[in-house]
Amino acid sequence: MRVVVATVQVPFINGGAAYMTNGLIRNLRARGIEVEHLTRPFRFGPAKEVQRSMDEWGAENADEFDCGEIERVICLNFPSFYLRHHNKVVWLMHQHRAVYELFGTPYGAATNDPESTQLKEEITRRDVASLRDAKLVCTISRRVSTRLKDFNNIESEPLYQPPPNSERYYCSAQLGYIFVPSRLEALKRQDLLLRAIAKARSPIAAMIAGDGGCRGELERLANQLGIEDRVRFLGRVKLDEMLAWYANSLAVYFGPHEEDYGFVTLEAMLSSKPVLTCTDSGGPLEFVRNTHSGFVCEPEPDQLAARIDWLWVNRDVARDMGRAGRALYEARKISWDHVLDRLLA
Amino acid sequence: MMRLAMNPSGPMEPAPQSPTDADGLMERIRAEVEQRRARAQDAAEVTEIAVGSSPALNAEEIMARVRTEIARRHAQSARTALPGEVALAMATMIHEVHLPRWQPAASRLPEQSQYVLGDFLRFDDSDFVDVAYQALLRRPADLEGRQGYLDALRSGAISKVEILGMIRFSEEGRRQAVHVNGLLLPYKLHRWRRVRVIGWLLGMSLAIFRLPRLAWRLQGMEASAAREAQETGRLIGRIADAIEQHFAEEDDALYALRTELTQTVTSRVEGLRAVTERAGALQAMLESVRDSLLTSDETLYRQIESISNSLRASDTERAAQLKVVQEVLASNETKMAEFAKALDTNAETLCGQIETVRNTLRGSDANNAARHKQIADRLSVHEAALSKLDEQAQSDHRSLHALLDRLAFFLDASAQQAGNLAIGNDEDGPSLEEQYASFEQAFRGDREQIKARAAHYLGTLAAAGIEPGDDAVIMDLGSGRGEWLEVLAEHGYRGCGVDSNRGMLEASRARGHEVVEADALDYLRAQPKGSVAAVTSMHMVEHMPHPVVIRLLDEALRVLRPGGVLILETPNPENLLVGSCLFYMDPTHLHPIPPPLLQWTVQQRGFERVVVERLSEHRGSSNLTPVSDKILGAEQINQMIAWFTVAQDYAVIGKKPKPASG
Repeated sequence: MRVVVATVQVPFINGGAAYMTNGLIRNLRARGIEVEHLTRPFRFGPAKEVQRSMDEWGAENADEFDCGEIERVICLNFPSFYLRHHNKVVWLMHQHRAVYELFGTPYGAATNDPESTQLKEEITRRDVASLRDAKLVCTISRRVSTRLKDFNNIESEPLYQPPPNSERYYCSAQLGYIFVPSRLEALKRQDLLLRAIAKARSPIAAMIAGDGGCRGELERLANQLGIEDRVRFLGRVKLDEMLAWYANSLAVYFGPHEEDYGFVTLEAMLSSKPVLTCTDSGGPLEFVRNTHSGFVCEPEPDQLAARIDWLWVNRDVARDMGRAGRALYEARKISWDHVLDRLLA
Repeated sequence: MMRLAMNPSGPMEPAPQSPTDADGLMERIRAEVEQRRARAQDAAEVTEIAVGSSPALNAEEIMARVRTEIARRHAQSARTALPGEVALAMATMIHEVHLPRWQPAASRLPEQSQYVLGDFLRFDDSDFVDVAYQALLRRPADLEGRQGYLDALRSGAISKVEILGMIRFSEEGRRQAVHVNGLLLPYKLHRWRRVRVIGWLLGMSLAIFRLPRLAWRLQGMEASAAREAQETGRLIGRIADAIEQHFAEEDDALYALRTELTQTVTSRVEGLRAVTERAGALQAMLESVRDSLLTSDETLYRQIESISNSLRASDTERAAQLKVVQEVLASNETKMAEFAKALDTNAETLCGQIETVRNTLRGSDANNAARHKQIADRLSVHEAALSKLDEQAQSDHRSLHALLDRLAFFLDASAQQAGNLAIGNDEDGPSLEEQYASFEQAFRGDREQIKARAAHYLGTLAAAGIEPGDDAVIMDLGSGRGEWLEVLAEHGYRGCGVDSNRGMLEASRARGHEVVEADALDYLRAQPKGSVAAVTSMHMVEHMPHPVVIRLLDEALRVLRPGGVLILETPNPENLLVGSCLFYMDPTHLHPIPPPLLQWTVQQRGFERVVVERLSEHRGSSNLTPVSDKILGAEQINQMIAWFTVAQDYAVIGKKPKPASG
């Protein structure tokens, strides 16, 4: 079987997108499928460049190569899904956010610019046309599906991928700390956790892994709150260390603002640990069952502190919550096998 | 949820490992990571050894291993493919098959000490050679000899007789000395046949001689060959029988095997079906268990939700109550803060304004001028009121000018007197004290007026429980012209004046008052502790430096009896005219003392219930009167008018604390 995986490429930007693409290709090959990665460079601006990229992908027809028939094309991002093929499926990371949920915000295109407005209209129209052309539209999470429904009125199916090294997570002791793995950025809201730690009545500690632009600010905040003896900033940690931090924690905090997917939730579940998250955290809400496998609370330090104290006191229940999380993970069929089954169906 | 209720751990139950010890936690995790790494490395090394040894194998070894493996697998599959009994039966059967072997018709020659030639001639070819060796040399033929004789015999080069002879009459044959009847002569004849002429003759005669025997021998040979053929045919028949029987047995075995296999397969299939059924039943059971688990899970979840909801609700309720209380407290606090702030602001404004106006009036520096301008600006807004104020100010100015004129006059006089003092003799010249007495006369007011003012304090004494007729003295420091002593005497009190001005003292003594010439502080120091009912002082502290006032207060406190009263009267600088001008009419005044300062000082030195009384009775009245509220800015104007019309004197009154009773 021959499969083409189509993506755009922004040189030297290798984040979750690269992980997802490589994971997909590796697992397809493991099934004995012939895979070719089809990619073109992409620029997020100016509008003219975006337009050019759209036209190029749209002009490409994967039915007409000289290699014989390509049975399937899997497109992962905008505008690679403009590629034409009789058997095209889309597994969407996200759309061109600048003209959708970020439109009119400081992160997206300006509403008062006629060029951007025109681009927005064209992208919306062509997105709808090319997605309707696909045999199957999947997304990486329910949030992305919801946006696709809201903005383009297109139904899609969330298809979850497992976190990297998912088979290596394990559960060990239950020590008195909350594990906080994430990049140190404002949107990840580690500050909320620090404020909760300061308000908690239990002598709980917080272990914060990861690095980022907010580190100095967070360290200052910890000092200011007088909890510097209960908080440690671990910086970037190696994989086996991270596994151990997960495995020995009382619970894992992951309360970002409007996250699309978020591996942290799944990693905590794989480590059989309860997850503390917030009502506006997005992705985690698709997996955490409040009071069953963790807590979902308002993004308020007092509420978060109350839940931390509760877990501190009810350790047996905390352990059961962690196990329930692991069971939920397993019940969700989050595996590359399942991803491939759907994309090749 | 049951576990929640039963969980006995307290809210601050310490963890097995001190939880706040963040460094301890870090240490522990690091140790675990190290341990796991070590374990992973061990595993990796083992794998490497296994992998590393494989290239050492050569192709043969690999092949051999593969073959062994294949063989093992085959054996395994063979064993597992057949039921045990069948395999065993087949193995025994194969070993028991023995086909009949060819047995030559002539039997071997038994070992004897002598033979007849004919015994040997029955045998042919290799049999003959073997038999000859065995019989004559008592041993099997050696390969070389056997082959040599066989070749010669088969080529017809020599006869059997010759061979027998050659073996018998060889060295080895002679040693064995096996006798063969009838060998020697034929052997010799055969040998001679090899000699020319004789050999030919001998051959011919021998042939003629042996013809009848030849026919007989041919017959014997024919019979022997026929017997061999028959024997061979019989053997073939037996072999065929054996093979047929073998095949029949094989067939039986195969049939048995097939039957057994069929039975096994059937029983297996049945067993499998039973297992499948059991598995189905188990599956059904599992599903029902899982369903019930799910249901109970759901129920539990709902219970947890409802309990956490109710907890949250009660939390919310409590929070709401708390919030109400907090709000009330907060609003109270805010109000208090506002009140305090308002007070502060008022006090500040007041002080600021006092300061501003005082500074403006003094006109001492540019900053004050600016403030003056500010006030002037504000006043100009209210022109109507201002004109009225101007008029009043002018009238005040007039009285001020009158006073200033009198002062100028006095100053002139004193300058003159000073000049006189400088020129004239000390004892003859009028003293400064005398001048003060006259100054008092001139400026303080007339005697009756002063008495009327002092009479105010009779009430104070009464309030302090100091009754007329009390033995204890009322000590008046700086008694001056003795007006207060006179009032006291008139009301039956025992007063005692202290003054250092002789002129004043004489005037008092002349009126029959008890007065002492002394420095007020020195005199107080000399008095015993707790001996005085009241210490009064009118218009004296403003003559003293602050440290002296403090010592005076300490001494007064000492000499007063518990509950005794202290009265200090002094000009009130809150009145701008007093503060800025009138106070300085007395050249012996040091500086005006603001009422709060004196009050605070008295209190601070140990007096209690210290109050300020502003005194305006019997001190004339200002012609500045408040304006009507209807006038624009009346409030501010009236405030300013008050600065000029407030009481000109004030008194600070305090009491010596009584020792705590009982």
